[in-house]
Amino acid sequence: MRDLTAQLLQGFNLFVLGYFVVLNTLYLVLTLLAASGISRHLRRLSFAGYDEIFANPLTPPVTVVLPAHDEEAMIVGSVEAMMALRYPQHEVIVVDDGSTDATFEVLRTAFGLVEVPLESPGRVPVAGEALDQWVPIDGRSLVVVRKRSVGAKGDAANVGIDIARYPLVCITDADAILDEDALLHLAKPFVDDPARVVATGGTVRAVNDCVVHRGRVVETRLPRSWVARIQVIEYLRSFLLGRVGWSRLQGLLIISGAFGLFRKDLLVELGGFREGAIGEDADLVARIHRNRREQHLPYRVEFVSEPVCWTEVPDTLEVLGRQRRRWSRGLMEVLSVHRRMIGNPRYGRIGTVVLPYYVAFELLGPFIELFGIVSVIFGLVFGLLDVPFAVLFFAVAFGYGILLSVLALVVEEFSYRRYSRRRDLPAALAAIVLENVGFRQLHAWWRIRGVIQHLQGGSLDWGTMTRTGFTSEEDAAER
Amino acid sequence: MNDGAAGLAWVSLAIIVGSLVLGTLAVLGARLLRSGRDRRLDVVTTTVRPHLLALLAGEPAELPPWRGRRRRTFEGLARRNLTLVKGEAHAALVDALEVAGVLDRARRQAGSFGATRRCRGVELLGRAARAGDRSVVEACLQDRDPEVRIVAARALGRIGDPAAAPALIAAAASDRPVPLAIAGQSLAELGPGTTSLLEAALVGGPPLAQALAAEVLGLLQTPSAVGALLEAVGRGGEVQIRATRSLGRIGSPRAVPLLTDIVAHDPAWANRAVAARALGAIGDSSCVEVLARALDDERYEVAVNAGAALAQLGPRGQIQLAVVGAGDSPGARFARQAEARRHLRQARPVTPLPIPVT
Repeated sequence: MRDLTAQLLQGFNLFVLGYFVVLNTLYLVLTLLAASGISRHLRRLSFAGYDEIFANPLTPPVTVVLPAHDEEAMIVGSVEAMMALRYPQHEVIVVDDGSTDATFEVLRTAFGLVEVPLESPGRVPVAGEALDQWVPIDGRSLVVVRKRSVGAKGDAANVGIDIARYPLVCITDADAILDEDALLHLAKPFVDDPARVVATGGTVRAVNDCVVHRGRVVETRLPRSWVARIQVIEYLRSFLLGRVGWSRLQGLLIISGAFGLFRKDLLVELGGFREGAIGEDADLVARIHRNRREQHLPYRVEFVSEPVCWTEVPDTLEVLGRQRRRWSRGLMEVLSVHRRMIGNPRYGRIGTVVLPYYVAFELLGPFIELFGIVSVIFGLVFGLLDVPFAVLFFAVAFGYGILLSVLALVVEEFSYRRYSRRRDLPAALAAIVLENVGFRQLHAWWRIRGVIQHLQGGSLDWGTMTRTGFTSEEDAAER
Repeated sequence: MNDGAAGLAWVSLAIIVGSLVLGTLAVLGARLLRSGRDRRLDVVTTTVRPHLLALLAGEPAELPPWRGRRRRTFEGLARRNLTLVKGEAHAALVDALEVAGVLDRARRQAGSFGATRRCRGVELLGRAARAGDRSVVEACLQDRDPEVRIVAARALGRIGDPAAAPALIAAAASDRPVPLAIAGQSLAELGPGTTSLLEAALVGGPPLAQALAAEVLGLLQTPSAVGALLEAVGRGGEVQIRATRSLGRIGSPRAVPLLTDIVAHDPAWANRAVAARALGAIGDSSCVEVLARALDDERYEVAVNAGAALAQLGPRGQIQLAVVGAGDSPGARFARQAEARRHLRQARPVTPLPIPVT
């Protein structure tokens, strides 16, 4: 009986070991693809023509949509910064999604808003009714719409999409900080290939403890909180390099809801964000792929590594856990809603490669990872596994992950170098170790709980993201 | 587990630990090398910059026969400054680059194998803006790499020789197209010297060339093109949209009857919407009744544009907005919004509060 258990355990662990090797090797391939893509992007920066795009009267204008819910602390600075983005022609639409604080009042005071008759084409379905519409008295390109909240950011974004005047729509967060040229960079693929590009996504980084002045990040720092530090590494590896890698394979499935640019006609055709969707950003991109493929239309969904959207990441495990459970539920939902696409050659690489990858590694990954680690520890404790196998297992499970994170750090160092302070390097290396030994397993547990919550079908607890605010230059000088 | 597997385990561990150490050393090494390089660059730049400034100031001084890092630094500074200066300073920089052989190198790069090198070469030739390089750059409009074609189109705009217009028009409509917005910008930079070619393209070119010509004639505000644009408006599709927009930009009252007819009768909503907007830009108040009826159009875009156009048509347009806005027709809400926005434009600007830094 003991021999049988040992053999079963060893067989299972060999399977998990192989799984880790395949998963991490896929990450490695994506990282290498991303490194080559970023290098190509940087080599071409000197003739990218951003000044020409800025000066071109034919550059397509952009509507920036900011859904806002209880953002009174940051909204004015954020809107000022959005309006000051370097772009030939853009308007900003703030959708106040039933805020219970003074979000609207601070906007009204700061921009001298006056009410104008509410007018919308009503072509994008909205669950929470739009109540009124306000514009600044000095004629600046800002529109503020108040609406009833149904607790969904996508619904608020749909109001903005519906009344957007321009052919491109940028969806971002009210608390996000965009680099000055971010919109230019994100719009470049639309200018260079207007017939095919339908959506572009930009890099999102953590703003915690960075120095912010007048709505711009003026100094990048690694956060003081270890939870946030770990996310800096995670964003670097998964969100920057992972998405650049997928984009190079024309298999980008996620454009972050914090920073994406879309063709408005396509958004209207799709009915905007799906009502009630938890992972509304991934769902939208999946529907874009589906729409284009089913209509046999050539298209491109691009990820641009350079433009940066800075956003505050959770710095407590409780808030982070809630966020990750929600992401996991969102992924389950997307895979469930679009299950017909999985493995279906009709949908090209998205159907045959990307979605199967998400099922095998993003959805099942946490289960296999946690059970694998528990079973190895169990085997070691009861003498059913030998030490060299356990060493090999953990080398692949943890070491390969650490290796990938270090590689991501090296790519960052040779490309954008956002974290250039001397003391950031040892902190980043320590965060890499913590991310792979401890955080990753905790993350897997959160993701499992998210999947279980999805299967149980309970209501979603959005919780509250506690904002600590940005570090001003005065605060930074004191540190 | 056998000895082989155990060996594999330890080898894997060693590889990973080794890679970790290597990665860390790579980051540290890169930082060290970079800081050393930056220091050396600062020293060299301090030597070279006075000569560059003298050149820009028009002082006739011979450049020292630099080699190696000094030569490269000077060339880099000169290249970067090409976009920042004009007139004699620009000419002096270009001459210096020519003497140094940098422009010759760029000409060779424009025909090299790597797309990035071709882009770099063409970009520099564009910044230098020598009419003699037009043919080298034009050849790149048919490059296999789309980015090279785009860089070449922009470079031709900077060179500013109207003789490049036929190639740019052809490039927009070719099998390896240059995006219309980019070709259009470059053609507009070439200036009014291109209008006769654009008018010819509008009359007899392929559809994409017609659309491009229609757009650029509007950007150049060419009154002589109104006849050809009016004729192009009847062709439908993208040509019609761009020709209509251009008629609005030019502001010719000759276009009013045709545009009024489009707003009233064209079955395509996009044509009606653009025509309404163009009527507002022209500012002829004879079309107020048609625009007032367009406020009731079934398409939102047409109604909104009609409202905006009426607000631009002076007292007659404003009276129409007030009349429609006071009623209960479907267009009343569009009229009220247009009227409100018109009032706002006339209102005195307020100074916003300073941005709080949290």
